[in-house]
Amino acid sequence: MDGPVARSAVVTNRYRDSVALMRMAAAAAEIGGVQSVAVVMATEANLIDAATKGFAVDSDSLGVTPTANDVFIGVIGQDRACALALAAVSEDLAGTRASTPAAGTSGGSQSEAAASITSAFQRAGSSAEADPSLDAGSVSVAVISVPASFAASEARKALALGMHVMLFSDNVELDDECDLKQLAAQRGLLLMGPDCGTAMINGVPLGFANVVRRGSVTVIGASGTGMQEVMAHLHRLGSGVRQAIGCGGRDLHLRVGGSTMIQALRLAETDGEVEAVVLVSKPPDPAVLKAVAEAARPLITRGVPVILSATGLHHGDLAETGLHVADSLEDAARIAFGLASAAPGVSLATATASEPIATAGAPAGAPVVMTGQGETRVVGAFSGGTLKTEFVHLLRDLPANVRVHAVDFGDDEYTKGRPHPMIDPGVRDREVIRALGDPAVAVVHFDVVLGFGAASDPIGGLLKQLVVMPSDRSTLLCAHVLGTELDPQGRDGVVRRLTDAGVKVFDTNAQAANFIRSAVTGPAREGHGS
Amino acid sequence: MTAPEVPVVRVFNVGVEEFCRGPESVGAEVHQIDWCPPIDGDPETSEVCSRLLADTRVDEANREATARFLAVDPVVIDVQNAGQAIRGLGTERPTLLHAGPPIAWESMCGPMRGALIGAVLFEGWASSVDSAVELLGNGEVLLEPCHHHGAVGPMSGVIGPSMPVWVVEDPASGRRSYSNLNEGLGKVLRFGAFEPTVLERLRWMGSELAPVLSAAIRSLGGIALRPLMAQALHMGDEVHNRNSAATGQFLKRTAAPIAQTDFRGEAIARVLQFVGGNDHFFLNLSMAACKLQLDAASGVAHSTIVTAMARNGVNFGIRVSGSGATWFEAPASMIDGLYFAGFGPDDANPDLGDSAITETAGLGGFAMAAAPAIVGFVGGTAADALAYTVRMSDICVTENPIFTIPSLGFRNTGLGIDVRLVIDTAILPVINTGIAHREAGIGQIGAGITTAPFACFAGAAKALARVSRPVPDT
Repeated sequence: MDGPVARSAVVTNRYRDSVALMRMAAAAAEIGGVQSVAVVMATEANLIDAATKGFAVDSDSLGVTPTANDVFIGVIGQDRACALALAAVSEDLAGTRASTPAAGTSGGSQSEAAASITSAFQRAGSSAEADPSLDAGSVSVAVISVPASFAASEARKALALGMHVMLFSDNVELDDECDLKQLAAQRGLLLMGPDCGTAMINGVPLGFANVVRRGSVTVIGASGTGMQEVMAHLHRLGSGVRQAIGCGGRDLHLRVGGSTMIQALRLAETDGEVEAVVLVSKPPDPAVLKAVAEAARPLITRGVPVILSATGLHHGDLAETGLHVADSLEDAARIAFGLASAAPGVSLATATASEPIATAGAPAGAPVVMTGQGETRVVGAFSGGTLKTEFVHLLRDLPANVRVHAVDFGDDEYTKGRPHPMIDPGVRDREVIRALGDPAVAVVHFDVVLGFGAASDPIGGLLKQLVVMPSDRSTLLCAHVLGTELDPQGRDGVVRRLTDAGVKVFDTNAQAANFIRSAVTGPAREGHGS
Repeated sequence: MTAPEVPVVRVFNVGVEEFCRGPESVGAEVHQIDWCPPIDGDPETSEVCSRLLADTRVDEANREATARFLAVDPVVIDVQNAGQAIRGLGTERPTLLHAGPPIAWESMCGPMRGALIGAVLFEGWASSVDSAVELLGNGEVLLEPCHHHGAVGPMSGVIGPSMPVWVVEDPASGRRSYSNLNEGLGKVLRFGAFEPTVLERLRWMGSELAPVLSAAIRSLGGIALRPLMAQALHMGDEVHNRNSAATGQFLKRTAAPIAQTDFRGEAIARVLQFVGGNDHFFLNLSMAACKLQLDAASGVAHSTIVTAMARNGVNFGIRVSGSGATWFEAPASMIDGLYFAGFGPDDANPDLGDSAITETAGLGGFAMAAAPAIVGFVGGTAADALAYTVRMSDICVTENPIFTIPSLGFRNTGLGIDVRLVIDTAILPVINTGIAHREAGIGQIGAGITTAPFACFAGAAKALARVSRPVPDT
């Protein structure tokens, strides 16, 4: 049998975003006899990286000296398999036209996709939108997910055309964020992001978004998965979402000053259909929190309750603001549901009395998984940062011998050069399997995020590996499936498959956390004393 | 559940295509943008472009620049000696004009050097090739771009004070532009030939052709060029690399007045034969007309409209309205085209000449749909010719109401190449052009299509953005 060889090719003047390229690489790696595949833009850094991994990057192998506007395809494996993989990727790349300098000179057909947002906007027969309100006859939104160094420029073009912007790209410079948000505020537009994972404008899901009912609760947040959790739970309760406006993770930092959240509150203020507003964030800068509360005041005065979910925030900070404070994302959804459907003036206590959180996640007779006095660990493998933060917060002050080890695999340090775990959960799966094999681990918990943008089967890979695990494992395996039955993946089926595999499944992150708390501390230690 | 008057949501998706799925599932209007990085891959290029696109002062300035362009009515009023007509080409110091952005003698390409040698001999400043070369090498002859003197010339574009030039004027403003007279094909000065027959022809053009044309044109009170060009666009010309119809129209209008001049019958016959025998005779008039309008559009603060594209055979340069006389240069491209028998790409000189002034004004390659025959130079079809014109309108800020294209339903040609749109769309201006032999004096060896280099536009955008900052807060 032949030993592995390194084969490579260059497709010139072709741009694809890294997510698309990684999908192609993953597909080609499935071909029998292929060991590894790299499909990357041929930047100097990418080529150096490819060389260290054993791919053939020298000009002699490639036949050309590639430039940053070319795609490099490297394959290592059996000779014939390499040829198949190269052909498969080249075919994928040929799938649709990419605008290139060469295409710019070669005539071409009239119906090709516009190469810029400016020309697409003109071709759509549009002139700059005059009315930035979300109730105007037409609302234009740009969804931008290009590499960071170009993202701010695309956003600026979109704002100049009068579009609201959802800036999905991350790692945008803070200066650029401030600059863009100032421009957006001048024009009464929303600059959602950067690093905005989800939004829903007039019922249209954007980015990573769950399919939820249209309703009367507007969700405004600096956390994508946090917003998704609130929206999915609102849907589960029978309520729905009026607008969901992402602000970007740094919006409530002092320098940005809550610019997008304040702009979103202003838009909600003029929206007669809003019955409640939920704000989702990490604990904000106090000065920014004050400004946000100020912007929320007209809504509160009008009788529209504004609920804040900011894990770890001290309630005392909010005494005078008139904001309701939720203990968890689930709690925020429930309060909003209660108040939105209640007549104006109904108190918080009455509205939320139906289902106190302390018991919601901890059914009677929860198993005690903790044994002995040695160190025991609870491992959390997350794709949503806010879900992880909330999980850790709800599991604070456990007995001294219980350690919570939670990782957000969606964090920048894990997503460099690889897809977000919501797209490719492989990295999360590996952590779950690793933890299950660790005798010191008593509980393993993971999140499964459904919806548009997320992997079409986010649990298939994991289940395949679970089947071959020894069946006598004693570790408690828990999952929180964030989504609705209307999502493309269908929540019910996902829950059933997990349950069949012995996974304990929860509706919300808080329910999972509270269940785990009971499980490791015993049924006697009820509540979490907040 | 759905409110009766839900606003239409239009999603413009720039990047990951998967993000179209969600909006599509609820029936939103979704536009996927085929995004790519700027051609130079430089984030700064994108950034300055986006700032210029977001700056409303630029839009206003561009409207002003194109309005000034359209306000000009180019009329050819006379043929005069260059030394008499063109300011700065007088007697103080021997001066020759050349095509493209400024360039020193040592750096010039073969055809341009040959043309300058020929011009020095023609002017009588030297009596041998060697002494002409010495004179040029010593810097004793001032060499300046035609563009710096309101003039344009095809290929090497060399104009000396004793050569005749077209005088094109805007009657309302009195503004003028100039171009030399076209010598025809084969061994000609503009391709760097300087042998005796070339200089003899030039002498004849000065002594007989020029006075006859001058008398005829003056007797007509001038000829408005725009209507003639508009008509030629309906007859298969794009008035850059194809001028058959325009030359015929010119001849039709001038034939009787030429015959009525006081010149002898033989002289008149020679003039008519010369003009009628050169399908490119009108090119220089087309260029001067374009130059006059574009000069009027230049110097509007903040404007990103391109006011000149020109090549000296080594570098390609553009000028932009908002940055006045500054050239933004990059190495000139090679031309993709067909070669005359016996020649090939190895013989070709890089892109050369001021004639891309026609593309700058929205003609030539921008009007290729009018002259599908041209696209044959690069193996294209008639449909490709239409597509070129449609595509070029994507990088223009407006349309020229004077010029229409029958095959596109009488659609107007694009007007006002916008530096911002070139960068933003990654569509480079297309130029129809002849191919010169890289050695002096061999002449035209083919024709084809090329594009303006991206770096010129990126450089211009960066310079304009520096000037435009900071955008005042509102």
